[in-house]
Amino acid sequence: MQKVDYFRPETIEEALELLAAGREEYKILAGGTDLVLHLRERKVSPKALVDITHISALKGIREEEGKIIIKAATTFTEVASSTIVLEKIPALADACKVVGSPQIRNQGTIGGNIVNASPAADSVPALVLFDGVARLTSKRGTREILLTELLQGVGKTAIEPDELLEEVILTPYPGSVSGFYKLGRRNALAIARISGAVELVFAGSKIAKARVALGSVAPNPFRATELEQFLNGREFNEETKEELIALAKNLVADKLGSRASAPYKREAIAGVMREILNRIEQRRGR
Amino acid sequence: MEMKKLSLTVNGKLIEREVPTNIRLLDFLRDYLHLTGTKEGCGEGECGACTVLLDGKPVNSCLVMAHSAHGREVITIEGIGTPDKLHPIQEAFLEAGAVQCGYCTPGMVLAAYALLKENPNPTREEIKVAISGNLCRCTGYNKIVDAVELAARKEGK
Amino acid sequence: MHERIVGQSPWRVDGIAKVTGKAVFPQDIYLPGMVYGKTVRSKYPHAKITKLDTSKAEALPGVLKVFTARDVPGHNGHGVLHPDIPVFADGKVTSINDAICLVVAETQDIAEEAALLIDVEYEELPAVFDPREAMKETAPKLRENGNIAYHLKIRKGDVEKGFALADVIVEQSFKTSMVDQAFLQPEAGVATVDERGHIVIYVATQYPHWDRTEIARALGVSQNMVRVVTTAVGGAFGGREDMTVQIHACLAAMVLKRPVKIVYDRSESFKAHSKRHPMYMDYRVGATRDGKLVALEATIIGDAGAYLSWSPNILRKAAVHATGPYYIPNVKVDSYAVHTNNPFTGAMRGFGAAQPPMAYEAIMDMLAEKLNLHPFTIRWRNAFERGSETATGQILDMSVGLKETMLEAARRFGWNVEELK
Ligand SMILES: Cc1cc2nc3c(=O)[nH]c(=O)nc-3n(C[C@H](O)[C@H](O)[C@H](O)COP(=O)(O)OP(=O)(O)OC[C@H]3O[C@@H](n4cnc5c(N)ncnc54)[C@H](O)[C@@H]3O)c2cc1C
Ligand code: FES
Ligand code: FES
Repeated sequence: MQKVDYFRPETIEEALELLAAGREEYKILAGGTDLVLHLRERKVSPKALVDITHISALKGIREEEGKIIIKAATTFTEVASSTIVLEKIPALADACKVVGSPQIRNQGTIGGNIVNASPAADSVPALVLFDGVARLTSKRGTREILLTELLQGVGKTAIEPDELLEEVILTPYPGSVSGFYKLGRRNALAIARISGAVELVFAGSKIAKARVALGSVAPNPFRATELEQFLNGREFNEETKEELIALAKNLVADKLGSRASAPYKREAIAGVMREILNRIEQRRGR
Repeated sequence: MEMKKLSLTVNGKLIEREVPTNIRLLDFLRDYLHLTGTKEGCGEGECGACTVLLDGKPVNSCLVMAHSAHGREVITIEGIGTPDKLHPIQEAFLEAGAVQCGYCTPGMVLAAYALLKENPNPTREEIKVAISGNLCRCTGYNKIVDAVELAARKEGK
Repeated sequence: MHERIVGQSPWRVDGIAKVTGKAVFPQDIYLPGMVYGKTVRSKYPHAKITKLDTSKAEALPGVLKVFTARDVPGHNGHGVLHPDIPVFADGKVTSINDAICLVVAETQDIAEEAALLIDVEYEELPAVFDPREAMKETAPKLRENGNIAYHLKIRKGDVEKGFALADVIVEQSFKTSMVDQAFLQPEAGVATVDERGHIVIYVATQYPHWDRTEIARALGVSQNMVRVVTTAVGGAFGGREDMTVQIHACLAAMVLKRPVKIVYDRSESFKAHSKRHPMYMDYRVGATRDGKLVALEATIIGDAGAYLSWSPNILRKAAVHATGPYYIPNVKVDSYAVHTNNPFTGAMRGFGAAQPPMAYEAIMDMLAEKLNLHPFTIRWRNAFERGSETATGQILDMSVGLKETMLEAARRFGWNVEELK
């Protein structure tokens, strides 16, 4: 392994101090499930690592005035088993449950998943679904930015080197039901070939409000507003589902253009959507 | 080379060592403590041969920096049972014929151990999920799942 | 009293060591004064090495020596049948897995750092990656006498006469892909010189006695100077028949008089060992209306990659198995092993018998469909039984369990076996 120094702050302030002092040459280490590999492959060569996993203020999930706030260093296992998440935003639990393997889920964090900015990051479609906002902190101050603006392409974000992603703030629709599904090449340790997340609010048999997000279709997961507009006000029945699937296929085909994976993903999205809608249907009854 | 003090509990023993800042938990266990039951199969989180329990939860020690484990509790295969005093899971692996080359075995045993701690009566499906981060190239997995079922029965007694 | 053995399920002898983490694989060995080797491999599948400068690496503190082709005292090559895999590339590389040199340093980190400082320049040569292309006159030649390393002909009866009797003929081409054994324990070895001056290597190998012969030949010492100790082996599946770390570690230990450890990471492991042969299989098979096979013609072309390894034996086995477990009176099989600039191929579970079934079983189904027969029926009517003669003229005069197995399987499917025969 290449040389690299290591710091283990126990408070956010200490971490920000280090990041400011390290200029561009220090890198935040959370679970390490992306970063340790990048270090070994010499994709990055920071002078030092600032390990944030010993900062207790960066862990945990809470609910505040209808918003759900997830601290950046919370692991996938913790998110997937959180009662708040399971009850209010089950799409995110679905997503965190299928990341990598039990080992990866015990180690990997939500913050790392966001900042790594992979097109296939599993938690991100579910976070984007609920209008996720990132809270970034540095010695210079704090700012909030929509995840869809934070993510700027494959492996790229708008985070400055001295900034720490402190938490993500999610705003689910009150009373909504949601679900996520990922299609991988196998059941475990599989990168999402394509994934999706849907949130619906029902008014009787009708859909009052809808959000839809897709993953592994564009450089970063995104909100499919066309699909949302279509769903708003429709009856939740087979016909709507089939029409939604047809629209989703077109959308995926449009986004992928002539890429080699397009013919496959265009078909695959149908199964992914069906599975998400099944999950929502099951949860709705509860 | 940058060195820093690392202090942690390994298999119940408090250990304090001055070690380089760039090593992984896997390297610390193997190269510094010679606890070589923890294996490296891929070095990238895919195979689970390097599985250890960190504060009771299975993780891939090839992806954990050694110093990240500071102040935490690590359990390796050496902390589960010894040749003279096998853990029921280890016995079950032998009885069920779940061991062939043995390179995946320590990681499998630890994954099973963590599962049974949380869920003493897992279904076959739950066992499969629990070992889904551990690759075995020899057995074809069925006997490993049998072994974990058998271990659950043994421990239940 | 005899102890009852049959019917018992004893624990495997090395089981307790394995479940407790005590079993010793080579990477688990730590000897006093041990140093670490890191191999530098080719960047190109076919190239001349125009420059190899190890000075920067050797100048790095902690580096003991960089070994290259010049440092091999004996034969610079090894191989299970023919020693054509260079210990270190000598002026030229023929595949991406060729070793250029070995850096030995006090620590693994230093060895890796130094490996990045090895300055190699290449002049790329035209390369060929498809064995069918490689058979052409115009293809880049990997060997002076051409790329075809092996050709086996099997001739039985007269295929043209056989096809004349056929009511249906199926013609189909198949291709299998290269497969890695992907055993879980990456290659590793520790070599040391013992108090008698003998070179000892602890290594996970499938072939310790042959390793010894080849290590001695490369080191230019007599065989009694070399001892190969097989440690626990973390899976092999054929992939540890050819040598990887052995000669490198022994050479370094012999010269440096220090224990030398070499451990591959997963990606180097993929590069260093053999693969399963990808095969092109062109089949033509004829059958009569009642489903009896009358003629089979097959051309099987296996990609040997850059080095011979077990290719002749594997393509022989593929040819021998080309008819499957079916009696066919007229057979013509041509089987070739052809060199390309791909990673070399060798032993892997089945040893050449794994590829043809994909072809002949698919053909059986295609024939059945054309003849409107049940897939069971066509197989049953041609299946080997005791006394059958294979395409190579072997009389199967011992037990042949195929038909019994088929019957039992069919019963379990709930098929009406009597009707299907
Ligand atoms: C075998 C394997 C399987 C995987 N499978 C999946 C999968 O199925 N789905 C999936 O989505 N991902 C998967 N991953 C990728 C990875 O586990 C996730 O992206 C994980 O969320 C990364 O989080 P981490 O805490 O380990 O981040 P780290 O590796 O510690 O960090 C990742 C990046 O984020 C930065 N960073 C981390 N936290 C912060 C913060 N709070 N503020 C600012 N920057 C920060 C780091 O500097 C680094 O650049 C897999 C990885 C492996 C090795
Ligand atoms: S070595 Fe850590 S997961 Fe394979
Ligand atoms: S027993 Fe060999 S890998 Fe599992």
